[in-house]
Amino acid sequence: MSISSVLFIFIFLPVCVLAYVFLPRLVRPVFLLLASLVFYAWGNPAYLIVLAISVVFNYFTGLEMQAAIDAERDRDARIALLIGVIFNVAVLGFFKYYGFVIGSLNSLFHAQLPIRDLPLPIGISFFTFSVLSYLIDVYRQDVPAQRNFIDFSVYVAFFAKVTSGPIVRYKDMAPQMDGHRPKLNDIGTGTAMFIRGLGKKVLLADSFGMMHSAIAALDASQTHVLTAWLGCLAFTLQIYFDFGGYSDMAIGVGKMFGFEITKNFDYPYISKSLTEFWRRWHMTLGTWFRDYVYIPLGGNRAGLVRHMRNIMIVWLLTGIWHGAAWTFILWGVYYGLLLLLEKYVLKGLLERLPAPLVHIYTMFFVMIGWVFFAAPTVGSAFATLGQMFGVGTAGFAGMTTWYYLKTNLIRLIIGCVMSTPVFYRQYKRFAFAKAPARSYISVAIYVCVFVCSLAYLINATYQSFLYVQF
Amino acid sequence: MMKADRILIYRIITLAAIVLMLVYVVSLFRGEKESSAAFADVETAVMSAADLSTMQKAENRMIKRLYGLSAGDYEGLTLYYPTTNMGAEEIFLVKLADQSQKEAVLAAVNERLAGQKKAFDGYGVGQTELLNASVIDDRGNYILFVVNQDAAAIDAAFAGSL
Amino acid sequence: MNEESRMEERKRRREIRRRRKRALMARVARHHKKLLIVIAVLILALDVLGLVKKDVDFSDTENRAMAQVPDLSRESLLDGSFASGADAYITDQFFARNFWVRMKLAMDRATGKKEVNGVYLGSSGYLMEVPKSPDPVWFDKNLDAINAFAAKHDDLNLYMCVVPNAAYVLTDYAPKAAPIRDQSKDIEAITSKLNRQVVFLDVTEAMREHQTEGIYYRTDHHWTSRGARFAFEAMAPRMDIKDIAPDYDIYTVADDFSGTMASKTGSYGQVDQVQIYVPKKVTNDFMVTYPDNGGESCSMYSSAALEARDKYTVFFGGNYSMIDIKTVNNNKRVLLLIKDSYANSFVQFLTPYFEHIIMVDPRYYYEDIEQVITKEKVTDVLFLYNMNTYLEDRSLADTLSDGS
Repeated sequence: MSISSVLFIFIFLPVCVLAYVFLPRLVRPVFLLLASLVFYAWGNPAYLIVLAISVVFNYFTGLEMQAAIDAERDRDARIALLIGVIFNVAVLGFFKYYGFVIGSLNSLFHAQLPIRDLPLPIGISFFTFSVLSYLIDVYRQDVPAQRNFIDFSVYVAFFAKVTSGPIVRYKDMAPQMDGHRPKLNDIGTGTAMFIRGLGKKVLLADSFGMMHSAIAALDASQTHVLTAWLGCLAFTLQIYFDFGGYSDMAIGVGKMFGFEITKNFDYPYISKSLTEFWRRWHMTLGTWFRDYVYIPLGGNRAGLVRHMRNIMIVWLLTGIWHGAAWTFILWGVYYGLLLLLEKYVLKGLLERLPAPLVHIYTMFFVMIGWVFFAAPTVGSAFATLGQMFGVGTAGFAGMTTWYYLKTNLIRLIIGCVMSTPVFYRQYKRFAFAKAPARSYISVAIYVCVFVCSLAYLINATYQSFLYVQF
Repeated sequence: MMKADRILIYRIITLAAIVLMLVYVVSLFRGEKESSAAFADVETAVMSAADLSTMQKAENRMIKRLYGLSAGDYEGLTLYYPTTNMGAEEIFLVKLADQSQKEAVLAAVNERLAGQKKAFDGYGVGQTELLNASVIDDRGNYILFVVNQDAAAIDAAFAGSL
Repeated sequence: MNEESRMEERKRRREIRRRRKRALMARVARHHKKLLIVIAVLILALDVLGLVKKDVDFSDTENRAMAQVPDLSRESLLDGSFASGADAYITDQFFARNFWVRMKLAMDRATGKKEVNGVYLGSSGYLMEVPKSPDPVWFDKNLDAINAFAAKHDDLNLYMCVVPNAAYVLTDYAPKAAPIRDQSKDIEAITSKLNRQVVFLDVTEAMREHQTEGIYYRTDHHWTSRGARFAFEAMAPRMDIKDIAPDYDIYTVADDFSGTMASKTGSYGQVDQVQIYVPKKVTNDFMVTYPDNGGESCSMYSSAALEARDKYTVFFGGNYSMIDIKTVNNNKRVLLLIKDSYANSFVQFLTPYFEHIIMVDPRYYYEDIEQVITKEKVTDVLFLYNMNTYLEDRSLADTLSDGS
């Protein structure tokens, strides 16, 4: 099930929230688990098996490590962790990269290895990273292993986050898993966040998505330098409002059940450097790689060469995590190199440059990065890049540039403004001022966003979240 | 001693989970079982579940024309197509001679379905509805394609006959 | 003393700040609670209204059957068809669905969108199908089949006309600056490969000259009878048709036609007129037979269609795999018209000039066309398509090469 479907918003979510509030405390976690399983199995029950085996395996691996730690048998704990990490990574690797690996081998060696089309279990990248953080935290004795099977299952499978994150660390969620009744205030806050996210996804992201694919499908004879940049801008906004909107919705749903889910985005497009961009974009993934890969490898404290190696490893992995395709790998390497360049060469310069130039620098490289991310193949990525710099186009600007600008202008402006904190800050100042009428106006605005989103949801043009594919 | 036992028990359970996952993955690869049911039996079962009055049995020439497939290449191949030319009801049943044919057959079926959808798009509402509710059922060496009011029942008869 | 009062002052300020913050948070909480109540009531109300309202079988606005309650079974749960059925059911049967459909279109228009669900929103209420791009494989396959057919029948007069679509012809009404596909290039691609035996009749210019005169429906993807007339008058001399009717009796048979483009976009309240053209001052008596259902009539117009939703079906009552028209003429010209639905409103201009017209729609035609040619002593063959249908056609090649 998708959390932006009419079915979810009008039946699944209201029923679950109501039941959750009124059920006795002891039953709540069981209920949440059952609801999450229905949510996960909806439409493709087969992959419930993968999720279930993963939960059972990791639950007992946690217990095994805890028992070994309690008995001070370090070797057993280490073996348990090792098996745990290898198993989880292997399952993820198999389902996600099997087709890619076989396909690449076939084309490299002209082999004819059979490929079976295995659909990706939904959210496997996200829940695998969640359980890995759990295992490592338990091993490091940052947190005791979860003895309650239901609570552990809810941590992995909670429907708000199972499909596309945020990758909540067990440490952060564990103290909240006491089945407490969510306060009316929390449900209200969650509703507001959910509606903001829904609006971002349905009213902005989907529309930018259509604009991007229309421009990407243009004939070379109709593409101009500016049109190509416009297409790139559309994707830049699409991916932010799509994933950012989804994250808002997930956090909102979490809130409705009394969970604080970790923030995932912090206005990434106002960053003053690429390093800062990655502290603001998909924050839970960045933190995960920092805590579980970068720092254990020695971070930046083990000399220049080691540091460069560590950065490249982290970014290669980040690229691969996003998908089994050369475009993502290239995208990861691109960021690794840029971040190294920024740290060792550009740092001083960036600090001295005036703010607008620094913003332009950041967004320029972010947008170029998205070209790789959006393209179906490496070849088409370079073709698009070529067009953005005047290779293989019909000129600098033309009728189509004007057409796409004009027909999307309002949304583009809204999108750009909403990518910065300015609008929402002012909105809060307006809505929560002392004047009592203001709150009614604000509620009306929220309802309006909800109703407008609904009109788009009910029409057939619905698109699934980009990040569900990862 | 207690603790060591517990570690061992947990480890056994985790290993069992690994084995379970392996079994599952292998089962994904094994694919569907091939059915040894005779084509004639399956055909009888499928066709008796359908109301054939709106369809006619196709000669091989027609199968070649509508699907681009030669009947001789397969262990069994039957097509019932609409009698009235404005009908959309269709039943297409194939028993593959070997698995390498599957891709081509599925492609032909999808091509036919897409073509029919286009032919009736915006024009034949009832036909479009039937086509949208059509069933393509791929079961190992048998493939069934049904456009029919009773598609689900026909598909069930098909599944039951294998 | 001084120090102490400063401490006091600082403490007081902190206290005020804290109180303000608490008041702000209370206001935020009240706001969110209000919001929650309104949204909860809204969701509940829409759910209840959706439950109470009767399920709809068919949507007139969208011209399609609406999803019904999905079958619940072990199978349908396991293969996901129940889930997708439930998703479709709840959106299709949503309370006041038409309202939501229209609201979405209104928002798209208001925010400057010119393209909705594959339809351009033109000026003066024109809704125009976004032109299709050819699939290279099928493009060649169809042309090869036509060329082979032409080579085999070099004793017949062969004509081909592919009518460009509204979005390309109506430059005055199409969205300004839109990257509309250049269909004259598609025509060029066809003529450059077409067997010389086949006379290609390009009507683009003839149509465009009259683009302000309502040659395409505003809400439908077809041309109007008026558009067909201009095309006919451009084609006739090259098809060796002489003494064409100098004028027509024009009857408006419907003024509430809302066609396929309106359904695709969910447009509401916009209607077209449907007119029929009856040639004056020529002999124009004929008998139409429908081999599909054995029907017979001495008119090509179907009055029953005027009660139906798709008023364009007034011509012949819609598409048939084959329609046979025998006229009272005795000029030995027998026309095989291989066509899509554009031809339905075109044939009213042809009947005075042929002894026998056989219309064949390859999309629905399963018989052997060669037999028809021999048996009916066909003298002329006209391929008449509109570009969008032609480029997407998957049956022409099969029909032409069948039996060979």
